[in-house]
Amino acid sequence: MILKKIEIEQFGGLKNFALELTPGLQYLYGENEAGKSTICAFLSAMFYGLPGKVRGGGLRGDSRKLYMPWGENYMAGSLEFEFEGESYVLQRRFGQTARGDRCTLLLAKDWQEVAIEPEEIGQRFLGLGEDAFQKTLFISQSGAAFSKGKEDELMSRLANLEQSGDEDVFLQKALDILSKSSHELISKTGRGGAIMQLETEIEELKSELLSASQLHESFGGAMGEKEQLSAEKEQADAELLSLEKQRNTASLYEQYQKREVERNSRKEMLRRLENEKQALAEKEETAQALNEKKKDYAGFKELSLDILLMMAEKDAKCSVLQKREEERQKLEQETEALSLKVGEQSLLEKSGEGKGLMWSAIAIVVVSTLAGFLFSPVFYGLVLVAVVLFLLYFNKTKLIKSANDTLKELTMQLAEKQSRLSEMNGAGYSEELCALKKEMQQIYEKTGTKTLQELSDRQREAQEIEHQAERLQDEMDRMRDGIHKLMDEIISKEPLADEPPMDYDGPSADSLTLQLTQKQKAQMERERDLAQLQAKIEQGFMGERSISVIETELLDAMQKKEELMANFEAINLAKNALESCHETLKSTFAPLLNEKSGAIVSRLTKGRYLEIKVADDYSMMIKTPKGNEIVEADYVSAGTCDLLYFALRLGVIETLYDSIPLLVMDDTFIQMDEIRQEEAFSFLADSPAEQILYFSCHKPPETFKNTVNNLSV
Amino acid sequence: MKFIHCADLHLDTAFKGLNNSKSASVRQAELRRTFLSIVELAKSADALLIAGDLFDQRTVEAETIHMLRQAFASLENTKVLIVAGNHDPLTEKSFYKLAGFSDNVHIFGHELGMVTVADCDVYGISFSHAVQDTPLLESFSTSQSRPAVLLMHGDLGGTTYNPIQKDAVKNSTISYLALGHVHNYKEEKIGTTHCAYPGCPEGRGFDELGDKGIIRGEVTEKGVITEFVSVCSRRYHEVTVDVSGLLTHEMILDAMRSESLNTGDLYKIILTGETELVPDPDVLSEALNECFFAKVYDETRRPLNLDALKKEAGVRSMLIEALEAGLTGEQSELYRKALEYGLAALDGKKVKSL
Repeated sequence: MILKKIEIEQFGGLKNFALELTPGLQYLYGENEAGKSTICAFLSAMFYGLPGKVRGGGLRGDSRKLYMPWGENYMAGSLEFEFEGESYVLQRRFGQTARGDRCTLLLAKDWQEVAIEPEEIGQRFLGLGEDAFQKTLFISQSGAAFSKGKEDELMSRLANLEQSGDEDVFLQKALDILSKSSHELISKTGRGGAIMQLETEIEELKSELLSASQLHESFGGAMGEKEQLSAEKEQADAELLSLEKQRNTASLYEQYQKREVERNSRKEMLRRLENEKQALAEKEETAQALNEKKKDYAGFKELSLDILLMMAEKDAKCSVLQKREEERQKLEQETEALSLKVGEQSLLEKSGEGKGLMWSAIAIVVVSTLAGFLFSPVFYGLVLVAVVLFLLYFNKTKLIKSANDTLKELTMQLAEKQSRLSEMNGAGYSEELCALKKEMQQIYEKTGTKTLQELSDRQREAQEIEHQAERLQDEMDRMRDGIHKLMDEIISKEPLADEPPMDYDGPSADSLTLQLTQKQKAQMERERDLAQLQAKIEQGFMGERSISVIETELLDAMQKKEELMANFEAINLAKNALESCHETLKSTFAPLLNEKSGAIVSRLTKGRYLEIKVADDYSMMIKTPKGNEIVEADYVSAGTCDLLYFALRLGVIETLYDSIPLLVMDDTFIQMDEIRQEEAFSFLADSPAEQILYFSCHKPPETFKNTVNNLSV
Repeated sequence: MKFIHCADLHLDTAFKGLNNSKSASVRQAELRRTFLSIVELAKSADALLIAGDLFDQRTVEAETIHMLRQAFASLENTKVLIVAGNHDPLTEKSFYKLAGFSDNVHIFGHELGMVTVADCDVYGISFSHAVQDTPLLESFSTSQSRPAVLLMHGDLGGTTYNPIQKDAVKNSTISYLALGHVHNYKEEKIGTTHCAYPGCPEGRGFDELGDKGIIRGEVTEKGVITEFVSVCSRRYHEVTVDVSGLLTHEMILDAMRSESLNTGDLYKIILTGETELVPDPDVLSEALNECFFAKVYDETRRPLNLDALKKEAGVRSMLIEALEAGLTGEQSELYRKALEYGLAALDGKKVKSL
């Protein structure tokens, strides 16, 4: 194919630009910003169109935006070229989006339109797709180096080199599909993907199963526990029953004991009552006797208490009266005696001796002695009288003897005495004495006493008895009170019937009740535990999924995983098989490629580098010129690297095609020294390419003098 | 003695293959109802024989224990005779011991026991462990005066789980050997002994297909009469539908529906055949909502004209060559799938069946 004319209406910085071209090597010189790269891009766009909007590509990624002239909304231009003896005019217009694109192919001779799909233009006239074009024929400013893409046309072409199969079979793409499918099942990291997700699910189900199993175990445990607890409870129930029985017995016994005490106390009271009554009766007897005795002293009853005093007074009065009587009697006697004396005196004179006095004295002694003996010693006092009488007698005798002397005096005395006597007699003592004595006598009779002493004694005795009686009465009163009280007490309480004796030997009801309470509490706790366990069992561990359901899901997940694993294996098997196909293919085209590329390198470096090996990702290994060291192309200088890739591109083209339709180069040799450049251009000149467009911002070497096209915008 | 013989209820265990726990819960409840219907049947019998695996000791729930207690207590005139199986072994912590069943329930111990019911001697022996790889009984000798029944969980003619030697049965004087363990109904006469597995009364997965029930029968001096009584509330079915050449889900649905599905039952529907359409089993299962449960499994293949593809040069034929060898091997399914995925990827298509 020969490009004859490039016309750009507007594209990038170029407007109304035209460039005439001739076959063979064309050196297109232009300064920076002259539009070399724009022309290259225009050429690519004319054959392969412009991609639609690329998301996230920025300005560089979006060539529509990149080449859209400022303030315009379309790009347009045309190409005139010759292909297989026919001239064509290709017109294209690009809008802001792919929808606004127009493409027309006309025959140059009659401007008849040629029916062709716009995307087939490159393939048809250049013999290869855009990818291959970019990797071979189109060497842009960014350098000759290129790498492998997903739908690597070149590699597929190389792969199919020895075959006549479909050219649109993209091995790499197939491998990518399989890889992607495989990674959908198990991700690259080995952590994601459907299988791993299932694996996680299975693990989760397993752990759920484990916990459910443990719960189930505890369910079994709960059943067992309940069984044991039930047995314990039953036993405890029996214990409680017997304990309660025992407690009741103890309680009954204790009540019986209480009644027994009551009964005994009643018995004791009755006995005491009897004793009291007995004692009272005794006392009453004593009181009776005392009353009998009291009768002896009945006389005292009417007497006043000072009777003794009165009697003593009376007695004293009696004694006084007696004395007076005696004095009177004595006076009487003295009078008599005196009269006698007088008579004696006179007798004495006539001899009277006073023998009568002596006889009276004797008589008094006798009488007084008798009376003292019989009645009272008082009467012994009368002896004194007798003594006196004796004395008087002796005196009289003496007197008589002297009477003679004193008769006269006597007679006078007698007269005095007689008068005194008559005076005394007139006072009446004896009657008074008599009455008193009679009074006293009455009292004595009444009291059965004879003397004052006796009376005193008897009165004391009477009083004593009286006191005794009173005390006794008090005592009896008290006793009667006591008896009454006792009787009241006895009566107040209902008598308890006798009952057969009870016997019990064991803990008290209280201690049994305490035991019972404790055991009942324990039993209650047991019952509560049992109820809880029962609830736990009844609920059957609600909220948890049953083991069978989990197992069902687990089985399914495992089965699903197995199915996916089978798919995974099949995918990987297919992938491996394809990869081995790839290897096989590579082993067929690689030597050819290496040979062709090696020859180009050798020529361009003048034999400096002889051998290169190209890997399937287009990375290259070269043998260094000095030794046998093999290094990657990236390790040599940038100029050499460019050269190597240039050689590779040409090698690939030569491997793939018999002829080179077009070669577009954008300052590819810029980094080479002059010698290499010269060699490169000479190589290009010798190449089978029909047309080579070499764009540069440097003045052309001497060799291009005739073929230089100065670009001016 | 009139009896109802059931086994392997496996109350409160997982239902396999039900990919939603709601259906599983419904099935649990139905299994309990089925059990209650068995109890109802047992009311007119002298004995309800339960030959083990009534529940799973590991997973049984309180509600179930309560239900069992109540149900057994309601059987006033029926003796409930139980032996424990490998899933509900009579251990110290067994719920058989803890549940506190009514007096009409007799659970046989680890040693051979005997209960006389309606002029018939019922012998029984329980599992004491989940594992029992030696026979629980070496020989079965009985007193000959009354007809004898032996109730046991075990594997007739098997090797693990109380293996029961057929010769030992043959030499015994047992009239009826009431067995449990095998989940399918099976009756067999060995010597003079009538041996029977009622199977599980309710299927619990797509490995327990078809009608399920119990055995109703009578043992007299004259002999044994039995009949299988279906008690299951739903049946499990596995249906294979060839959808070759069908290109839409609707067409596949029609094809599935033409299998006259019973709406109350549970279906595992396997799609087979070759079609360009990659059926979405989830969409199809969902669409078949008239059934209590239906799960569609896609085993369809894309039509692959391998020979034609192989003749073409290029990566496709290389891929076929790389995987072809596996297509006839043990993992043919895997290789077939890999090939399908690989070819689809080369066509730029995503792996659809994910």
